[in-house]
Amino acid sequence: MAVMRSFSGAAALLVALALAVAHPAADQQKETEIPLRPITPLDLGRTLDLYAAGRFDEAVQAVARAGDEVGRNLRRHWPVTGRAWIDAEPGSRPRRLLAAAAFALETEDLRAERGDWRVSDNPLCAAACVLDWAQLQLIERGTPDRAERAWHLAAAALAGGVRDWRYLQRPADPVRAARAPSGLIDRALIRFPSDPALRLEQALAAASRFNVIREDGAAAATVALNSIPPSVRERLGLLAVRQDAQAAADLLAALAEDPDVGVEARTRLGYLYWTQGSHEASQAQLTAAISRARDPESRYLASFLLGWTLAARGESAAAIRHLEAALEARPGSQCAAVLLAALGLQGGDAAKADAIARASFERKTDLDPWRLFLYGHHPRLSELIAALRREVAQ
Amino acid sequence: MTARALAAVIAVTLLSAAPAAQQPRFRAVTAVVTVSVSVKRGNTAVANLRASDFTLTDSGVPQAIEAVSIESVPIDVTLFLDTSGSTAGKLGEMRHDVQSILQLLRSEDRFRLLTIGDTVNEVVPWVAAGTKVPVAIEPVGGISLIRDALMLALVHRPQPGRRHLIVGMTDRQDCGSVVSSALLHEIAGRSEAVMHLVDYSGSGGDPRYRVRGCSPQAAPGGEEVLAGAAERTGGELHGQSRFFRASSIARAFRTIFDDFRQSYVLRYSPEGVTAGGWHPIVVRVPAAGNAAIRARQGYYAN
Repeated sequence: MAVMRSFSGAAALLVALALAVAHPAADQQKETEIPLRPITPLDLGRTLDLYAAGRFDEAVQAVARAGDEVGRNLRRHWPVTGRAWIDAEPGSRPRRLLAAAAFALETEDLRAERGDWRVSDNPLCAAACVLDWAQLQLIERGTPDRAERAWHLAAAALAGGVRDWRYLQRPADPVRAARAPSGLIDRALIRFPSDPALRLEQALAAASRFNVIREDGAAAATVALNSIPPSVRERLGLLAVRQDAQAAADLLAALAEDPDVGVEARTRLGYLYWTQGSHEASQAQLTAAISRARDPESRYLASFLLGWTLAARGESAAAIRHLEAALEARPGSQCAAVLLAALGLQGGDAAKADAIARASFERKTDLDPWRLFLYGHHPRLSELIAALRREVAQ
Repeated sequence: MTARALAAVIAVTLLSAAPAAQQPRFRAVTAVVTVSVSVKRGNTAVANLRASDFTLTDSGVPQAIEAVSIESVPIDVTLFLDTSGSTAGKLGEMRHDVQSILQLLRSEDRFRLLTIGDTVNEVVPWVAAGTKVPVAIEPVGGISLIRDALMLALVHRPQPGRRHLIVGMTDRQDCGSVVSSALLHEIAGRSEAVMHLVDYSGSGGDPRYRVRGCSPQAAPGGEEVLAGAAERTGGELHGQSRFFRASSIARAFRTIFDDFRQSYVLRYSPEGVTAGGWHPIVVRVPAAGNAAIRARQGYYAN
């Protein structure tokens, strides 16, 4: 990374792309030494034809029906069978590159839902291997475009669902960064350097390393440093955590004024500060997010988080105000309701607590935005895949 | 002090405030506290006890028990099933067990079913006993919102003259709740319910089903937290034991429900105790010798 910074912009892009290509390519070379396992009865070429023809669900269902073992074996067929399908029609190559990349992503969504994100019969090729391959196909199409951007947003949401932040973003800490390949979104940003949505994905991945907090809000963020001797691990670990947390905060803060992603950046920054024990900074960001929120979901999230953090600090009266504001934005939403009911009963108002709890049950099948807040944009994955499919269909 | 609901307990009207310099005290008859008491010798309920067989202290002050009743009080039953990843392999059995449980209740009892996944769901809202209900329990690879679910169950306020029994089947590993352990513990002390939890861990989860990463992470000692909350209400966390076999939900429920129905309901009007704060309750039954006595540990008076 340090080397890259010393290059001019154009040279840096070339180097990074070369590195991005070299990393999976090396793995693929090793993989050729391992025989491909069968994927029968699945016919990848025919299934890609279906997908490219806009029969998306049929194609995805064909892979799902083939079962878990075939699904895992399929991963290593992409550079071979998948590539042969792309090359079969040189005149349609850009479109086939996009279709193959999009379909590969959707097959990994199936694998993730079965708990297979990192599970593979071949350690060289689990989900990351497939997505790396797909990203290379997109780069091969040439100038970055809307379809490639749609693919990257969907890929980030997919990885967020399994909380593989390391895959999306290289840590700031130089000890680990030196050993880590660049993240998927790091590479995407070389193609789309000023795209706010992709910058938010990078910042979100960086901040999400600190999402493991204790129920009382105390920070319990740790960074895996297993290869470092125990005698220096603690000191380096603290340093690394501070560096990574600061880097994540900087990435989010840089987006705080953005008209499209600023409110979410502030909300996530507020949460990050809370996990780091910076309560005043957390409150300032969440308050700003509430005042700038333009839609009920964003206002709800920021209000709920502010109420929750205040409740955790024992400031019940202020917490109740913000939780009530959250429920005004999104009536009956469960996280705010459960806390407000608890605080109501704590204050001796059992009837109010009961009424709030009952109202929350009336919002059947509703998913409170907080429940999956820590999984990045995974709740939007189906919407992002639909956008990607529209690009493939054009 | 205005008239306010006496936390967690029943028909309550607290007296107006005493002079500020003095500790407010209950006057007799102005508030009634109800306590469910299970008296068991081994696995058998001790029957035919009278008010005079019990001694009860509120905040260390002996109280006069005004009434004891058994069996006749209608019950609101909340069944809570942890349907998140680790128990996802038993959903078919769970659906069958719920129908069996509905047949165990008496006609005046009511029932509801809560499940958890990425949210706490009221799969079956309050229904009269004997009602045939479609039980749509779907497998979810969700987070495990045990404390949030118990919290939503505990705040239910039964109609006067009814009791509330919560039976929860869970693997005890909370993940993602916004209700902290400390808050659950306090709410358990304020609830009118008796809560029994059954250790349902390792009971057929589908290991291949995705379980989401866990955050916020429960503080260490999740089992103690749940056991403590249950005991505060007069219930307990049941592990597998000589007296308790949780081989099926219906069987575990039947054991708890039969025990609850045979428990005594004591009523008293607090005398000579301060009006606010936590009131520890201690119930003894000298006539029952070494029988095991289980009752709520106290209540909050606001």
